[in-house]
Amino acid sequence: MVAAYRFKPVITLLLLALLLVAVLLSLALGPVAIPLGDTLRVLLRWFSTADLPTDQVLIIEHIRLPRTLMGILVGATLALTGAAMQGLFRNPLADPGLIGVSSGAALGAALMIVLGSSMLSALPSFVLPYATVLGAFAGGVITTWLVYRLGQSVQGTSVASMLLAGIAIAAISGAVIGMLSYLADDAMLRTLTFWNMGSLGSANYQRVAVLALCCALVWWRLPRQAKALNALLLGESEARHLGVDVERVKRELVLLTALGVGACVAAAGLIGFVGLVVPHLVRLLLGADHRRVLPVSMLLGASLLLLADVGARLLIAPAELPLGIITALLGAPFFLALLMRAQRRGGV
Amino acid sequence: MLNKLFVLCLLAFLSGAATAEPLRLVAAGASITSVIQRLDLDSLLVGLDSTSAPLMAGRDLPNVGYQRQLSAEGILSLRPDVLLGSEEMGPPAVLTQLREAGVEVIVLSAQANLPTLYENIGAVGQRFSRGTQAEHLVSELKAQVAALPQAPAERPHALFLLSHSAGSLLVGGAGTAGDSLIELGGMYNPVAGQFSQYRSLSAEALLQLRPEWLITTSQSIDQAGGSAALLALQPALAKTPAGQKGQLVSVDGALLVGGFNPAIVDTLAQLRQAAAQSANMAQLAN
Repeated sequence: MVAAYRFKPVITLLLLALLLVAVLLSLALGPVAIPLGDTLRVLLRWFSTADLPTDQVLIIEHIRLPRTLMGILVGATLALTGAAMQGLFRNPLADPGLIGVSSGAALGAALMIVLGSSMLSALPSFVLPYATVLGAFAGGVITTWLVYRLGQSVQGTSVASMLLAGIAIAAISGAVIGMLSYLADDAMLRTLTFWNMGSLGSANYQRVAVLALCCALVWWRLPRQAKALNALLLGESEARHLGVDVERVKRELVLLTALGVGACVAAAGLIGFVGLVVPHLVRLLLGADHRRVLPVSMLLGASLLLLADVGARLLIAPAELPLGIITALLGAPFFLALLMRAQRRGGV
Repeated sequence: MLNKLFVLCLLAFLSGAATAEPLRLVAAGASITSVIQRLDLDSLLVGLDSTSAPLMAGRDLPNVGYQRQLSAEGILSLRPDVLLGSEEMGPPAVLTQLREAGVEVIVLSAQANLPTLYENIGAVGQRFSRGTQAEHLVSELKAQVAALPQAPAERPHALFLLSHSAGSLLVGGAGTAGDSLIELGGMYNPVAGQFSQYRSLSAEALLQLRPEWLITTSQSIDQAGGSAALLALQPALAKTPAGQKGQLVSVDGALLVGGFNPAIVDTLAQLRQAAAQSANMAQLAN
């Protein structure tokens, strides 16, 4: 670890370079082979692009670019909120799923997919295409609020109660989703399953814009709590003695996580393991200081998600694998390896 | 210099577009692919979805994946002029992207009934200048349907069973392709009045329904590991009249993806015969 500390700036620079490479790959690779030079020309508007086939320009501008932007937003936000939750719960196993955001969002989406057609006739027509997205977002925020309320007691918010409440809420959501999939017809079931596995395939500029608004707030506010998170590592009462308004910090972290993850799930479906594995990896490389862990997690989260998405596009082209499957396939073994390594050293 | 190059490229591009190259077609949904086959349009195909792949086993066409989860860039990489599929195609955002990229996306009805099938054949024929061939096919199918054995007055009860995953058994209710199959096959679906979509039924409910016939897909039988294994998934099935007489009809599941396909007539003939057979037995017993 001592050696790692010395190379901190180098590691951060390397991760920045990795993100650049991932962005380039994500823009340049896909089932349609487009030379890297042409890709750059389209993006940077060097020379005229009029001699390029219009469909290539369109693929880069309207398929790959929004997809890449969404990948950056989702990957960075999931990793950032994951790091914050691990800090808040002082538990390396915590991820945004723990406070009920993910399961609540999945439930909201499932409700819309299955019961939507009957419930939605009352809504204005321009909302309809976004019903699932809105359902996911609302579901995530509502369940998180519920978990937060359940965690409150006279002594303030108990992190342990929140954790247990989150697990219980996740179980209830799971059961209701099970009920819904029983009510669903074949088409809805397929939508439900694929939605639960995540994908960046439906990225377009409107979705990216809405997602960017939510993520911007999270990216701006959440890293400001880094010092408070560092203090919390010592324990809640110690943090209080250090002058941290623990209740406010908790409330803000939970709300920002609900907002960020809710928006990510609504935009791209459930994508697991990014929020869990990335902060771990960063802590391993750079130590536990949240002032570094938070921003660097964002870098690494975005890079990993983009690389996984390139795999999703290319592995079985012209068909596409769900992104959530790839992140889980990569993330789970990696996580096990981390766990075993930590055990050998004695303690997680 | 750059300008000249640009004009040259533009000219080359335009002249390429002007020559009458055959259309490049991607099909999604087994039923639509089989209509394409029947109208001798298969030479236009440059890609297929996963449900259509078994129909064209002879040709090694790129597989664009499951029809509800298509990939915009994946399909564009096949440089298609037309994407032809049913309402089951998706996701909608991808279809929009394809339209924006200049691909003609044709969405046909996926309703499992004969008028829709005729309509779809007509629509495909018209789009690809096979109008007369399509008319022939439709009138041929209509004649075959008219020549089917009459549905008996006393329709035997039948259930449509699906097994998607090992160990599960679903029964087709109102509005399912299986229900239309039973209805058109001259039988009666006792659960059509009880629920729509596919549901799993309890052993007691199955016994009470007393189906004379069980209809299932060959894919379900494969999934379960043989027709005996399929019946064993729900032990009560063996105690129904259909189970006791071994009256299990297997149909090709590809017939039911994205609406009916032209081969449905053979299946209907098979079912009508089965229905007539039951009716005769019932008369003999009286």
